[in-house]
This record gives sequence, C-alpha cells and structure tokens, in this order.
Amino acid sequence: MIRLENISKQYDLGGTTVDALKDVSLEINRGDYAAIMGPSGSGKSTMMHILGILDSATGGKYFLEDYDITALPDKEQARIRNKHFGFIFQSFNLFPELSAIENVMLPMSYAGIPYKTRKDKAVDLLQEVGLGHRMTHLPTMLSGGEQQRVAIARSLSNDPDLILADEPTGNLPSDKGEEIMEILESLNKRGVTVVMVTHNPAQGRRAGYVIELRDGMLIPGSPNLEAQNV
Amino acid sequence: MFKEPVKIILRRFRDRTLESGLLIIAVALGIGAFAAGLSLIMNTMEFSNQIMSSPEYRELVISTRSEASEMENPVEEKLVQENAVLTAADLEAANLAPGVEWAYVQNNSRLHLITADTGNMRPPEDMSPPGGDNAGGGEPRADDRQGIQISEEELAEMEADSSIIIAEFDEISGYEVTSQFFNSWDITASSGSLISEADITGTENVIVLGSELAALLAGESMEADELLGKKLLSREGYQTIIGIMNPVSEGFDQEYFSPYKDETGGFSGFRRRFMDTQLRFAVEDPEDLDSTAVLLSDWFESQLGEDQVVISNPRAEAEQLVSRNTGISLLILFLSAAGFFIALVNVSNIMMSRVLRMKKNVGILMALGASKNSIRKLFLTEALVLAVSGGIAGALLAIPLSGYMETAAGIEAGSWLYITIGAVLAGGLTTLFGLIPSRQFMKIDPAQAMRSAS
Repeated sequence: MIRLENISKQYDLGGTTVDALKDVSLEINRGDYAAIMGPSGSGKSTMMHILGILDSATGGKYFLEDYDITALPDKEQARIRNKHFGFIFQSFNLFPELSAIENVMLPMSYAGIPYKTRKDKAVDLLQEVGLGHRMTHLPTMLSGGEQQRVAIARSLSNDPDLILADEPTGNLPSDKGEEIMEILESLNKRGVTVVMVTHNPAQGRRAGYVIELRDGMLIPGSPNLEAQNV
Repeated sequence: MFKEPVKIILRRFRDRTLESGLLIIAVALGIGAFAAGLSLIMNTMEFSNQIMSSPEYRELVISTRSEASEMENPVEEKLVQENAVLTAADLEAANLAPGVEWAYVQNNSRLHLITADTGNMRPPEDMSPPGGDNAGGGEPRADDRQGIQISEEELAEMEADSSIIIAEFDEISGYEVTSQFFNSWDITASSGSLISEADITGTENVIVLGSELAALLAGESMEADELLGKKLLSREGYQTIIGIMNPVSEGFDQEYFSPYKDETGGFSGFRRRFMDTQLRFAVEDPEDLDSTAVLLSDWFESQLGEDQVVISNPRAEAEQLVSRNTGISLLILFLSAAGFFIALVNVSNIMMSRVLRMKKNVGILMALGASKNSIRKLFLTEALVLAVSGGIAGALLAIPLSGYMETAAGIEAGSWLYITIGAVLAGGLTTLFGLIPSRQFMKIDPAQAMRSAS
C-alpha cells in the first residue's frame, strides 16, 4: 500500500542542517498494524508526518498504491489526506468551537458530503465509539478519553484506508489508553491499516510489527527490514 | 447552514467579543470617514459641474455704480455719475463683442397683489392715496404709493368677473426682462407665449408666469392653462397673463416675468429709481468671458465715461467658491483616507495575531483535508465578516456625517450612492488587508503549522 524509497528529511535550524530521517526505505501493506518506536528525537514524528503527507521529504520517493505521490500539487495532497488517511493525535486536536458531532463532520465537509449525510454518519461513528450521549457537547466538556474517542470517530469519517495515530494514548490514563488501543485493534481487524507512533513497548508488542528508528535511521533487525528490501 | 470550517471562524469571531468588537469599530470608523469623505468630494464635484453649467455663469452683468464708496473719482463728480442710466439701447454693445450670444435687460421686480381678504387692505384712516382727494364712492382701497384704488363694491364685482384673477397672497416677485432673457436661459413656454419685442414696445401690462406660480394662482379650481388671457389684479394695475413657462431648475418657477420698458415716467419710472438696471451679456463659450468683459468695458467707457458701470463676472466668483469647496473636500478626503489607512494597518496587525493563534488549527484543518485554497477561503470569510459588518456600521455613520458636511457646504444629492460606493470600496480594501496575514499559510506544510504552540 505504502512504499517509501530512500526517504530523507533535513531541517534547517538557524543555519545548521539536521537530518531527521536518513535514507529510510520501508513498505506498509494493506491491513498491517505497525508501531513506529524509538527514543525522543529519533524521527518518529517526522516519519509520521511524511507518511501522512503533512510534510514533504527532502529526498527519496513515496509511493501510495504504486503511484508516486512525492511531489503532488497541494490540492491533490489535501484530497489524499482527506479521503485515504485518518489522523489521531496525542493531544486530540479537536476544535473547541465545534461540538463533538461537528468535529466528526468536519473532514466530511471537505469531501463535499451533504449536511444530512455527514450528520448521519457522524452520529453512527460517535455511537460506535460509545459517545452517542455526548454528541452535542463541546470538547471542553469531555474527558480526555472521550475527546480521543471523538478524534477516532473523526479520523474514520471518510472511511480511510490508513489510520495514522501519533501517540494516541500519550495524554491518557492507562485505563482510558487501553480503551483506545482496543478500538484501534478492532479497526485493524476490520481491515483498516493502522500505523501508530508509541513510546510504550507493551503497545508496540500488540502491533503486528515494529518499525524502530534511531537517529533518523531504521534500526537493523527491525521486523520491517525484510519488507523494505524492494 | 454553514459548513463546519466556517462555523469555527464565525464562533471564534463571536467568542472573542472585545477583540472582534474593537476590530469592527476600527473598521466602521475608517470606512465611515472614508465613505463620507468620498461622498463629499463626489457631491462637491457634481454640484460644481451643475452650477458651472448654469446659464448664469456664462453671463457678464453690467450695472451702474450705485454707491459713492464704489467710485474711484472725487465726490464732487458723484451727481454726474449717478445720472448714468443704462437702457435697453445699451444692449447694442453686444454687436462689438463677437463672443456674445444673447444680451438682455433684467430688473428685479415685485407686484403687490390685491386680495379678497379685507385684512390685507389698509384701514381708511391710514390711507394717503396720491392726489389726496378721496371723497365719495365707498371705502377706497389703494396702494400706499400709487396705482389703482378699488372700493369694496368694485372688488366684489371683480370677484364675480371670471376674466379677473384675484390672488390669495399679496406679493409676488419677478423680473422685468427683454426677450433674449428666455433664449439665454433656454426657457420655453408650456402654454401661451413668452415675452416678445411687441410686448416690450406695446402698452399693455403683460406677464409670463413661472410654472409653480401659475399652479398657485390657478388654485385647485382650474387648470394653469386657463389663466391665459386673464387679468391678474395688482396695485400696479391689471397684468394680462400671456404665457406659462415650463419648469426651469434655476429658481424661476415661483416668479413672474414682465417686459422691460425704457420709459422713465409714470409707474415704471417710479420703480426704476429704486433699482439698478442690469444688462446681461451671455457668451456661448465661458472662455470668452474675460475678453468680452474687456470689450464691453471699453464700449461703456466710450459711451458713459470712466467708471460709470460695474462689470461683474459671476463665473469668476463661482469658480473661486468651487475651487475653495473642492480644496476643502479634497483635504477632508485626504484626512479620512489617512484615518482609514491607519485603521486598515491596525486591522491587518490584529488579523495577523488572530491568524498566528489559528496557525496550529490551520495545520489540523490541512491534515483533515483542507487545501491551501480552502484555508485562504476560510480567512476570506473572516475578513468578509469584518468588512461587511464594519462596512454597514461605517455607512450608517457616514450618512449623518456626510449629511452634516453637505449641509455645511451647501451641497446636496447623490449621497446614498456615493456612500455606498465608498463603503463597498473601503470594504474591499478591508478584505484585502484582512487577507494579507493569511498569505503565510500558502508557503508552509501542515506539519510546520501544527508545530505551532497555540
């Protein structure tokens, strides 16, 4: 589904060039459940941003379903993020001005879905994550776990092929984190590809495989290394 | 129903009441001042064009010097100079000035009407009719200076006579003119005829009525046309109505016009002593006014001697006034535009701080599928909300402001149009300035925006 070939990413920090990713190649197949792990500064978030086309690589190629999407125009990138990817962030990133249901409806409005359809879909998704009774609440009136469940419902609104979760349980107590993990696992079982950044080795073990990064490079022996030899 | 991204912008606007309120006030004041300033200058220019195109400002006015203080010569010559009298014969000066298109005499005039209301009459003991002898034949009604005397019985007979018009008001003003007056002002008759050469040389008292005066005299009981041929009763005698003018925009509609006659004796001569005869020379091209004034000055000097007449050029005076008004209006426009520009820069700054606070959210919106174009539209929405609300408030401010300035400058008409144009123009500029801060998102990636602290 996704193939990265020799991806590198450099940042220019006040005249100093920092290599966030160095020559990374990997492949993620449809239905995979991958965990990206590594210490702070290893390039996990950069990897996540490159995978989600939230940032552009300074070198290498990115193939999505064998299409080279490395240098697509902005409008096309936006369309892919909207239709094919769902994002879950550590700090939830809900819009405080919108109610839970409106937050879920938001990505659908960019897909041009009519109001009634997106509202019905948002109701279904919120019920699915157990928030049928909190739909009109503003995010500030919801607990952290509830906010993350709204974020998950939002990420699913356009039926994405890939869920990109950046430390989805990082801001939650363990019991609430467990609920989120269970939701992600059930999504994966339904065929949704899940790529999750995590610090937590236990959560890493629950993934199908781990992509381990250090200093912007894939660690040799990482389970994905066999797959990346393309 | 607004889409969710628009709801975010609108609710942010609503939730930041103080900041949004200050923004709207700043924009409203700026737009209001600019729209009022623009309205003022446009109205001033329109008004100037309007008055400068009036026939009055294509004319040179010749009158005799009426006050000793205006004279440059020694006082002992005063009597001689006051004897200088202008007559219709002096209009021949026009033959020497090729630029002159029309030439006519114009005197201010007034008719004292006799009304059916006896309260209008002077009581008998106050009367001092010319000749003094007033014995017999009922109570006389007479002008205090001259003219006809009418007894109550005679008045009753006149009221019964349908060929006599007895007005309900006691005075009307107008002009004694020669026939080219009507050519110069491009005045036509709606019914009957205007004053002709025959009327000037004839002996009958005839008058032509302005449209509104005709309607007033006709009252509700008859059509204005029916006044033709009837005699208007005045202390100066019967005035036969020979024509009614089409409406003119120059303030002549409530006045009457009678033939100017040069005779110096009798009733006309009496009045002539109390007013200056004005000779008016209208040129076709206003450019010829100065050269024509020189030619006319030479001619009158050769005829009457030095410093006997005053030649005034109303256009030169009007141009000074117009130029002063335009200058003041331009200054006001400049000040209001400067105020508006300062408001716009402040709006842009505040919008920049709002946009910076939105930066992380913009990154999230992009992650959820917003293209850079969608983001631009979102900020356009915010700028439009500001421009429209500020524009409406500004226009509401500008209307009384502009009205006051126009009253002070004596200019009217067209304000709504120009205020709307000004407000729309200023609203457009506000939108542009409001959009400038969002341009930064056209160059950054979503990840970069999301790294923002807010």
